[in-house]
Amino acid sequence: MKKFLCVLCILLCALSGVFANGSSETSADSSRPVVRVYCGWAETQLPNWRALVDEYNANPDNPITIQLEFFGSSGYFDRLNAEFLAGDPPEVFQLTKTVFNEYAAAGRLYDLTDYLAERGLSETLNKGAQAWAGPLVNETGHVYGFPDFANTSCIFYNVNMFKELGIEEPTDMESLREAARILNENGKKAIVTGASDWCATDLFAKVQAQMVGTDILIDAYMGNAQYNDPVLVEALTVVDNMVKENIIDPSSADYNDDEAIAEFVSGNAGMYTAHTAMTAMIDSLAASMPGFEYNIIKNIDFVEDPLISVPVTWGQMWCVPADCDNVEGALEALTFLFGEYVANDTVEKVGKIYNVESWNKNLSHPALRTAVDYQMPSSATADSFYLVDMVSSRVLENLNRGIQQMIQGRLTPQQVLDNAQQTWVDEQAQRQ
Amino acid sequence: MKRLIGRILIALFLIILSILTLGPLVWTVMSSFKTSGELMLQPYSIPAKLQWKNYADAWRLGNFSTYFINSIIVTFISLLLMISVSSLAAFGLSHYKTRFNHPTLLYILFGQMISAAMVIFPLVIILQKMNLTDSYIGISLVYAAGGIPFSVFVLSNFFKTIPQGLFEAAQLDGCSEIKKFISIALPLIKSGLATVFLYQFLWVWNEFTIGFTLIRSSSMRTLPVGLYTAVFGVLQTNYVVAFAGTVMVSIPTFIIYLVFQKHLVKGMLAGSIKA
Amino acid sequence: MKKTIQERYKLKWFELFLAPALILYTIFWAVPILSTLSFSFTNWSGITPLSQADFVGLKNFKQMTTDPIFIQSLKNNFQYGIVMVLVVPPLSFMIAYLLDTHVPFKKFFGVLAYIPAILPSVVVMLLWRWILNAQYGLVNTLLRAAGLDKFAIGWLSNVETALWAVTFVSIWKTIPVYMILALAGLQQIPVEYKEAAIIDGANEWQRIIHVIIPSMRGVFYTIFTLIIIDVFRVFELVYIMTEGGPGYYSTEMLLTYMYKTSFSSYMAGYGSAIAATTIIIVLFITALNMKLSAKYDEE
Repeated sequence: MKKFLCVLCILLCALSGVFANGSSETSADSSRPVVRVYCGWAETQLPNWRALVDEYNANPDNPITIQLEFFGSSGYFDRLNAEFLAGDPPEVFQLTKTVFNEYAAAGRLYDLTDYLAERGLSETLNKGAQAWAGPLVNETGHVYGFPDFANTSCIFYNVNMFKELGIEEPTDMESLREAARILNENGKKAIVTGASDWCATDLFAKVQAQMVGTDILIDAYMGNAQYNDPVLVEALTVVDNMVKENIIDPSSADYNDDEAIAEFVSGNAGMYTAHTAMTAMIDSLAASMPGFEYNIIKNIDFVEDPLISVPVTWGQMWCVPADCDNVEGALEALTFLFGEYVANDTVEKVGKIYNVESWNKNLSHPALRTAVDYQMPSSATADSFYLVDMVSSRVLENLNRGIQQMIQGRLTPQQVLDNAQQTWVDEQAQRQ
Repeated sequence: MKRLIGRILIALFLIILSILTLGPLVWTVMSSFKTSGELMLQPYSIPAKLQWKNYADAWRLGNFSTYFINSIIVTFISLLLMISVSSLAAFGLSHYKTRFNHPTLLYILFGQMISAAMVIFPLVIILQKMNLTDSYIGISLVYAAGGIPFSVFVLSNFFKTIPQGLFEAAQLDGCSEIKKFISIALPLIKSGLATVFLYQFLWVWNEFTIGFTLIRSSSMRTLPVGLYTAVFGVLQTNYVVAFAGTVMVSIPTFIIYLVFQKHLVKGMLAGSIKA
Repeated sequence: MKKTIQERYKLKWFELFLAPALILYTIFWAVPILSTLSFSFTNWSGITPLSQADFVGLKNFKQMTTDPIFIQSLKNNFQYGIVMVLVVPPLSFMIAYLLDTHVPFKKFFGVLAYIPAILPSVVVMLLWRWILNAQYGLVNTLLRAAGLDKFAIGWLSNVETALWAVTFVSIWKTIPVYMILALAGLQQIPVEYKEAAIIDGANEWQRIIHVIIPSMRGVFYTIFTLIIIDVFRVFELVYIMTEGGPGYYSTEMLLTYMYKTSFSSYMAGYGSAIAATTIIIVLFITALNMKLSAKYDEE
């Protein structure tokens, strides 16, 4: 009997010996410290990075080995959270603004202010982006994440369809209404959106930024204002009216982004509303549709005398954990990944908009070029913060869902925002 | 006349059953051989030309070769562990009558009520403390533990079917307890082991939540996790390739199922029902 | 005296045989669930160290009673559960019975009918997401081809239909499992019973009602117990297919809400309290089921 247990034990030990370090073989060159870099996106969103990192690792003069991991799914933050929980987070990781706010407020992120100053980036990195890279209440103005790529909120349009039907590029509500009328008369949908994703809230953000500005969002987050404030209700009513007038097609209430883009690319709809990051997805679907050409509308004033032209998301944050064991290595990885060498390659091959203006000179994608030339300059301030990123993840989910139901004609703008406010109140009570 | 109607009804039932179970699968396999354009324009036609390229693309883009190896290793270790400790425990539970039998069984069965989503938070911490994060053995231990309730339950019912007389005779011959277990009991419950193997293979091979949260590096992902990340990442708009990936991932479960299917009902007969 | 020696001997072997399984099970399954239960009394966020969290007593549980999303999840979970409990056992029994008695090539069709259950749930969810897709999904293309354009809706993204669509997919995936159980139960009924009934002149319907179903009581009990546990454990299905949407949480279930609260909203304490509540509900219903069935057996 003892013999048997011994055999069992030996077997178990052998197994654990063989397999326990199954993962460490990825870090072949053990003489240099390994810096783990987590990207929440799929590799297709930064397809050139893998090769650049391999090249970096192959050079024996470089002080670290970068281990780049792409996740590319909604479960990424759960993963990351688990690593923090286990006390072993990666040295560098990407966070969306909403999640970033939570981490920054909890004091989990390394202060990058001095690092930016040393690299001379505190001058060249867009001021709006720098203001963006702190917790929502950022009295010191310190920077806790490197904001990667800017995306402007925009409306895409089908260039050839507009030409054929003789539609001018809209500039305000009146001309947008006219464009929608012509499209509808020709059996086309005007604007489609992916309302079962965040695009519904993006619609609201477009109007909110022009009408109300950012301060009220921060105030509401702080409890000094409410999400159902009359001005916000008025802004959402503008969106609601666009649905009622068929400018935004009600059918898109059921769509997610894939489906909305498919409608747009296959020529059933003249316009698609989202933000510039969606170009990658449009391009990949448009590859099977020869002759399809699109651009973004330079500027639409949804209200008279808008505060700013478009809201901008200054991108996802690249962060270092506050209690990082190898800060030097982490900063080295950041310097490489957000240095000019990688930037030039990424702008050229992938078409991303960097927050350092001079890095964008090689951008050739027509729609993104429009964004850089016409939208970025007029909106590069802290006032153009993007609503979708300025609320807690639960409030965002609630807004997405509520606006989706509003587009389906089930809720009024007032009800949607009352619910959002209630959700925020509940969330705070649960948190204490 | 009545018989004829009966026959027609049965035929109708079989047709509906086949369409409902096979329809979606046939459609998936068909779609996986189409071009993107075909899928959009003629979603339910037969592919004009078999696009084997989709499979090659899926294999390459989705990095499935790594995931296959990971899944095989993880499934192998966890089933080996799970079935060996469970059969020991099940034998103990069914062969030795003590006052702890009932409480122990209840304690183990309580685990059957737990969903993986409820326990991953603490599991992350435990694996980290034991230095097993991101290792094959770490995730296999979790699978083995999670499979214990079902395995012990089914196997102990199988052991109960063995006539006590056999053991008594062996005892008279001076047979040790371990020998009783290995040379008398185990060979008699082969079909029980096969049943447990089939069900637990399907569980471990297909498991998503635990794998998704506990595996850290992309080189360690198991197939379902790899498929999920690929479909929502690399292949997001590339439906035909995603279909091909889906088909590839399902093939091994089909093979195991066809080999072991005769134990499905048999296992249930001896296993779950006597409770 | 002799008896105690024998008892001790038995106990020693009992312990030895059970030790490996119990150790493994305790460390990797029982301890985690107990930890989850203990987190539910704290306000731990999940991204700060646990030592910084405060003990808040039953506050999380009180908070739940006024949380509209939790109440919605509870409602959805119960609606889903009731439909499953009402639909799955009778249908499983029906299919099993037909397969067992009336179908030619019953082995072949038995193997075929089980196929939905062997697929990885990720595959099942993706497959049905595509089939139910608003634009190019199979269901809608067929509907449009039949001229029923107005019924071609986004089954999973429409507030009215999403929960039903999810429930349907779940039924599709679970029926085979219970069908096998029912099939096993049917094959266990002694042939004499059925023959005796035939000699008594009972028709098929009467035989099912008076002979077959009563003698399968044990099987039905097992089926109900398993389904009840299962419906509250529903997670992957919703997480992959709808993420709780569309609209205001129309397919949110207890565990998907728990997962989001813990991992996306950074309220591990509150999330754990939801998990604990789910366990309590399952325990309560299982106990009730046990009690009812025991009472029925006495009668």
